[in-house]
Amino acid sequence: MNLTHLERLEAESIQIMREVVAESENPVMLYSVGKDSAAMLHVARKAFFPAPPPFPLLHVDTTWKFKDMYALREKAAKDAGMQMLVYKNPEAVDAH
Amino acid sequence: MTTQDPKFKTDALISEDIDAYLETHQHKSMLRFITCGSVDDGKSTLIGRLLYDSKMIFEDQLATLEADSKKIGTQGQNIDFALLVDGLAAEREQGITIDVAYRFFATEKRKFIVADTPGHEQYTRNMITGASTADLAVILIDARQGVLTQTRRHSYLVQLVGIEHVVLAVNKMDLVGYSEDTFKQIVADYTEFASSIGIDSFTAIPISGLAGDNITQVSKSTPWYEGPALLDYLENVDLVVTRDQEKSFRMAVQWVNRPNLDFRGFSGQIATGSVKVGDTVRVIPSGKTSRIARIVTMSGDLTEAVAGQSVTLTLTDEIDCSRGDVIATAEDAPEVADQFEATIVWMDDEPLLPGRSYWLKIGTQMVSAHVQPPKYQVNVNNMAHLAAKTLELNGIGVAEVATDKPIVFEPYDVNREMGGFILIDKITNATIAAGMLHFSLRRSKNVHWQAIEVDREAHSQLKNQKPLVLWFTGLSGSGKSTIANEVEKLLYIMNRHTFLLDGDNVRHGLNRDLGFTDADRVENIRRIGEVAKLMTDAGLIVITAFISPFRAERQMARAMLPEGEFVEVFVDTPLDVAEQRDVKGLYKKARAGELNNFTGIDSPYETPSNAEIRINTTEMSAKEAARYIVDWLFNLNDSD
Amino acid sequence: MHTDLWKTEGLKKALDHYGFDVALGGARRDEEKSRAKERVFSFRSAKHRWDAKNQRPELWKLYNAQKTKGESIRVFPLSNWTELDIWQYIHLESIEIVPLYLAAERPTVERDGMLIMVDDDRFPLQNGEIPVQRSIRFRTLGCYPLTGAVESEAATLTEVIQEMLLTTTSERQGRAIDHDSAGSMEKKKQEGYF
Ligand SMILES: Nc1nc2c(ncn2[C@@H]2O[C@H](COP(=O)(O)OP(=O)(O)OP(=O)(O)O)[C@@H](O)[C@H]2O)c(=O)[nH]1
Ligand SMILES: [Mg+2]
Repeated sequence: MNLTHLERLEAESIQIMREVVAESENPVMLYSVGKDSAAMLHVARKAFFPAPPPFPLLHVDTTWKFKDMYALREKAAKDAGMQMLVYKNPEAVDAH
Repeated sequence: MTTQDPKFKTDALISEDIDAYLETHQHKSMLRFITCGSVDDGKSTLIGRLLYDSKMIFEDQLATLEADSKKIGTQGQNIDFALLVDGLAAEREQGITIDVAYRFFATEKRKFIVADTPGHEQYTRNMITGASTADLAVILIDARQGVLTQTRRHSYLVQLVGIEHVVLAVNKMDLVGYSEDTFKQIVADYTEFASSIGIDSFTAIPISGLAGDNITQVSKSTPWYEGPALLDYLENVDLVVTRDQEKSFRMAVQWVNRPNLDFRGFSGQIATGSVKVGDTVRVIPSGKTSRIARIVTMSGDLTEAVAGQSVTLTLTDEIDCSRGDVIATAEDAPEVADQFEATIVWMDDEPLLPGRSYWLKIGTQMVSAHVQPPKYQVNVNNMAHLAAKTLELNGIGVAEVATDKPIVFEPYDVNREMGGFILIDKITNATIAAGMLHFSLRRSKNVHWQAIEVDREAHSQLKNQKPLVLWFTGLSGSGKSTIANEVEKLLYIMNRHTFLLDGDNVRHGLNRDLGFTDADRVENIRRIGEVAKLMTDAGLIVITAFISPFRAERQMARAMLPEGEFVEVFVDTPLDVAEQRDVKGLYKKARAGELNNFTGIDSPYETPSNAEIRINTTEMSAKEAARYIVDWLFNLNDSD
Repeated sequence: MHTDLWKTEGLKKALDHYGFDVALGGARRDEEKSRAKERVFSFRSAKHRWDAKNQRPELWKLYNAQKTKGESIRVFPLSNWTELDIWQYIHLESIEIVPLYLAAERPTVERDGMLIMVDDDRFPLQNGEIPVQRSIRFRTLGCYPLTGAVESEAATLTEVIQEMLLTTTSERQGRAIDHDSAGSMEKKKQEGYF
């Protein structure tokens, strides 16, 4: 059986994420709402399925994002069953 | 931008049928390779050139490159391709590579990840980082310089980490007038060195990274060169991607997935082999067996999974299994041990402190370990084994490693993922060494689960001795058999298990069908070599006493055995002395023409040049000679 | 440049605030030449600094996650993916992405040679600027309004991939903050930028 290129990349990324969870005390996944974050989050869901990924997401929000991005941010966290932490400015950090 | 080379992306297919393009792209094979070699041999320039020629450089990046080249490049007003790859400020300022750069490109046939590694000895650890995940190494040589120490060091490391394919790229051919002689000389020099470290084959290509000769296309400047261009070779070299799948199933557990009381899955990436639902597996080190209930993935359960895939397995029984355990085929599970012999590459400024406790990480296991004083360090220039008390930065040596609890492992040769380890300093947390396990020194006592495999190792352990062949060679009547007999007696007194092969028990049985022609002599020695080898597999110390006149055949017998297990004993008795003794009256007959092909008379004796032991029978009695040989053997065993 | 600095500071503060010891990020080695040099497990000092010249060796799949209190590690699981891999994966796995990546008619103004989308009334129009409907999409989503759009008809993922494959400029060109000199990414990373 020959794995495709993407299957191999995905397997490698999953292995890395599981090492992180096994070897760290308090991990987090940065989430920027971009396409790379979307792919990374998807791999994370696969890595820990059927459990949700055992870490929260963190969005460092410059409040200068497009409207569409905010909408997806909330939905992505909900779909994954993960907590979305939003860090807005040096004073306020809130959880969604 | 250069004119489009047909090897690279076909814009036509992309614009006409993107789906077809993506489909083929998905199923291209992938080659991971490194460039390595000595400082300034042109590694980064070569990669820059490959990226440039494969259209991996965008217009904006090209503009930056041109500007940078003029400002800080090494090529005057021309493009300095190395600047595409040397991405750190310090690298660009100094014009050297410090750390490995990973770059990506694709052709119509294949995708590539290339790791451009640094040539400076100081940064050897970064070279190994790149090498550890590569399938192929391009070893560069500056045509003006030839084979240098770093070329040898990198070649040796390439061989140690087990990179399968080696390309010798003789670079800067533009600076030696594309001379065929220069190329040939370098290839000849390198061939000699390569075979001494176990690189049996490599492909040599004359190139100029700067001028682009034989990189993507065969160059007109080297009409005498008939092989492929580098890229051609990289595109077509055989990759057996399914080899790991054919081995026995092994998966190190990374993480236990336990979202609720009803689900308990074991997550990991399959190292080797394949696994099916229903397979019986064994969890090591506990030795408990169970069966695969499910292979769980988010896209649905699988019925089978293979090496390379990251999966989550559930078992039919509630057995103990956690991170660090290995799930393996029940009938062929890996070993567990706590003492090993290993090759170690030291990567830290602080030298190895024998006896100090370090973290050892192997697979998903992390344990405390300490290293014994090295058995030896390797001189990378001539592969000589040097006595060493420690290993310093970039030192490579062989040492015993002991872990504070048994670990699951396989020899690195058999399974990279279960035999490669790193050492981590417990105070600085730095990664200080890389290691490759050879074998366990003793099986761990507290595990009873596995029926002991009765292999070579087991045989020799039982006999409490290191098997070897003492190969006597010398003229007829030189005293081989007499001394060999004395040696066997001494060893017997010392409780060693031996066996003597000589004319009496071989010529009349196994080799009854052979005469004394050159061809028969060769076959005679071949058979003796094979028998001796089987006997060492059984753990014996084998003593052979045959004239064995030809160097090539003695070499053949030597090559049948693991390194260090063939000890050649040259019984050096001058022809006139042997002839004078003529115990069996054979010389007389030969001189009289009654015996043909008699060694020393009408058939040559090729004197050994690399015998481990030379005995001069005009200076020593047979008993003294035997004592000398046995002392030599025990000194050998003590020192390792 | 200010948003970038802010982002770096914000990130460091957020990580410290929660005491996260490992942060997973989606950076890829093919994005930029100093990224190409970075380990999968990228060690950061207590001040979040990246010491590019002194990275830990990283062999096989063995990652060294050891650190002392205060130190942290940035981990890049997508290190070996290319931009094409990401797009193709999103396509094959039907992953939801921000619609702005796909072309649509959107109100835009042209400013300093960049196409800027007028997203809402946070966007201050300059004198004489009148938003024009154009078919645009974003190749990268940085910070509004600094990220420029490109005119495009690529309204599906495969069309986006097609356009990407035929393009002749690098991914980040649309981002104003990345138009600075060589080595700036390395500097930013040394200071704690992702
Ligand atoms: N004439 C000529 N010069 C070359 C060629 N290849 C590289 N060079 C020059 O050799 C010098 C060293 O090249 P690099 O590519 O930096 O060498 P390197 O092997 O990467 O060096 P390190 O990574 O520091 O070990 C530069 O000045 C290059 O322009 C070649 O084929 N011909
Ligand atoms: Mg270089």
